[in-house]
Amino acid sequence: MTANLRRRKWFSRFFEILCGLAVVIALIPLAMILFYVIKEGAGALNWDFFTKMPKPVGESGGGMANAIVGTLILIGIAALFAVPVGGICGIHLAEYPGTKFSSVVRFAADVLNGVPSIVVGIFAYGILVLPVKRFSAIAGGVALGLLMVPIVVRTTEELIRLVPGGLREGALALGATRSRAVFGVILPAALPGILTGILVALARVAGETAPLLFTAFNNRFWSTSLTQPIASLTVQVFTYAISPYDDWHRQAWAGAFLLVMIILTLSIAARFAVRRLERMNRS
Amino acid sequence: MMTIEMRRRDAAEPAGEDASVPPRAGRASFRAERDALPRTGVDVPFPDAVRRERDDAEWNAAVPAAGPAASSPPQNTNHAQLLTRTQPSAQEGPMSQEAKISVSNFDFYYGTAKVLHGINLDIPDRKVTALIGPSGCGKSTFIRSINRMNDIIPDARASGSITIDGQDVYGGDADVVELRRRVGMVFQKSNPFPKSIYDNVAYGLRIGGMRNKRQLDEIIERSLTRAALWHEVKDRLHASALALSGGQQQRLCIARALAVDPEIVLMDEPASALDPIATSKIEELIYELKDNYTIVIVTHNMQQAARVSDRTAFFMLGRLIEYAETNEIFMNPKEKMTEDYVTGRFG
Ligand SMILES: Nc1ncnc2c1ncn2[C@@H]1O[C@H](COP(=O)(O)OP(=O)(O)OP(=O)(O)O)[C@@H](O)[C@H]1O
Ligand SMILES: [Mg+2]
Repeated sequence: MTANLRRRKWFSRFFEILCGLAVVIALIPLAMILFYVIKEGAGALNWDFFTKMPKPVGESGGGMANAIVGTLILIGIAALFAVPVGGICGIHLAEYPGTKFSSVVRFAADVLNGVPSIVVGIFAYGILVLPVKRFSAIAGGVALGLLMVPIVVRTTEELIRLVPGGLREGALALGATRSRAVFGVILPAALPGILTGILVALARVAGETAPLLFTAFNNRFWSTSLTQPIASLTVQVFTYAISPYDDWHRQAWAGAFLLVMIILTLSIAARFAVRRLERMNRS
Repeated sequence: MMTIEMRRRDAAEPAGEDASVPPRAGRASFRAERDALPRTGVDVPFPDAVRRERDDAEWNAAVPAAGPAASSPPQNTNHAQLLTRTQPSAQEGPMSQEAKISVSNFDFYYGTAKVLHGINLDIPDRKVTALIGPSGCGKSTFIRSINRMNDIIPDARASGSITIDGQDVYGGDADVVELRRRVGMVFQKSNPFPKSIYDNVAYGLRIGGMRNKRQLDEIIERSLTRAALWHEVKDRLHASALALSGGQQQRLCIARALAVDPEIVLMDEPASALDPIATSKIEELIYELKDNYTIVIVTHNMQQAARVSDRTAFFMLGRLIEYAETNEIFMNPKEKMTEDYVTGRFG
């Protein structure tokens, strides 16, 4: 074995170890987070947590029923806002990739993707809270929706691009107009993938706290009104976690655990959808 | 609204009839029907006589002899022999029929690259016209120009004229959507939509505004029967089209194209991705379709061109080198290049 070859082998070994180390360093925090959240949260999670309202300070027990429902309402509004807006932008980008307008849209989506979520929250506060002088579920939902839009735009664009060109030609050759081809054939073909992207985006915004602080605010009481402040898991966890009460700390862990589970479930569902899509495309 | 013209003889038949009989019997009845018709002067008797007594296997083996010189023994099948044969074809002379598609001085450019140079040819009504030539010579570009599929390619440009029944396809008042409804297309790679078999065939009808379920059912059955697919799929019309085999998918695409009742069907290497059995099914189909449709087919398979087409156009380097009755092209080509190509000396 020449010295050169030995040196190369040594180098290769060295980088393998380095890579392994990097992976471990990245995984340790994830494992620790999951471990702590499960250890602290799973124990505090009980039936009351899902069904009861928060108790006043000092009383033990109670749950986060209002915050769970609140989070569902908020991400529902976010999806209602972001899916049409992002979807249409994505279709436009895929269909007219070269136009000036498209590059503007693409740039805007990229910028929006990079805007800190607290800034998005302040923006929603400025246009939806200040004029009516009231925090509301709508303001919170729109703030989350704004964060979803760029993700939806990009997944829609990419997935429409992935649809085989033959399908478009097939539709056009039968006398379909361009828009009919897009909405009748291409979009349905890309839909499972787009839904996956929407799930991922939902998972991402379900865990946001900052944009809700001055939009949806919080609500100690049961509310499903869209024009009233509304509770959310993230803000509730935040409020409980900074409080001095042990019982609230336990509930904050339970809330954190539930959030992690929601996000995990959405991510796994997205994975499944992708797998199915890949299988479909291969056949 | 779509109107299903009665110009098709079988349109008046009960739609279910063909469904119950196996395809070969279907072909026999088709032949009987066809033979009962008065012949026009130019109607090349072509494979009928030969075809009648032979089964498919022999048929596939005996290829180029299938020229209109049906009297020649089928075992004389190699090209060299065919080319040395001097016996003139009975069907010489100009087309006595008006052209369905008429192309004059047609040029085509992708950006600055000129890929078609001054094409002139007339494609006869209700005949099969084959386009042959080496790869990259512009066959696809040409066939896609007929229904303006090239419109979707940025920077592509055409000049000269293509007329269908005298109407300029590229004229200012031409409606592309209407054109494509009259001119169906089958692609090299089968491209069924990720929908059910039924919805695939219904697609063109629905965008044409047809909503009546009974009417849809009827046309879908007839189209699938025509494409020789009905009896294979009639029990699973609502299953995904993607679950069909490659050959079935291609026949589905043919059914889909036929459903909207086009006058012309363009086929760009429709059988190139298929095995010999599926290929012969498609060829049989093309052969039967020509009674009702004008068919233009691109193929790399000389035998296929000889088997299915009435006229053949030979392209090279973006130019139309020779265009004549198929048997002329294969047995008595005027141009040296054509001869070299059809005998396999290049390409
Ligand atoms: N979209 C395109 N953009 C630019 N050039 C193209 C495009 N499509 C085809 N060409 C070029 O035009 C010429 C003719 O191509 P075309 O596809 O018509 O050939 P073909 O005869 O169908 O070949 P094949 O038998 O391989 O299918 C080729 O030189 C090809 O490179
Ligand atoms: Mg081609």
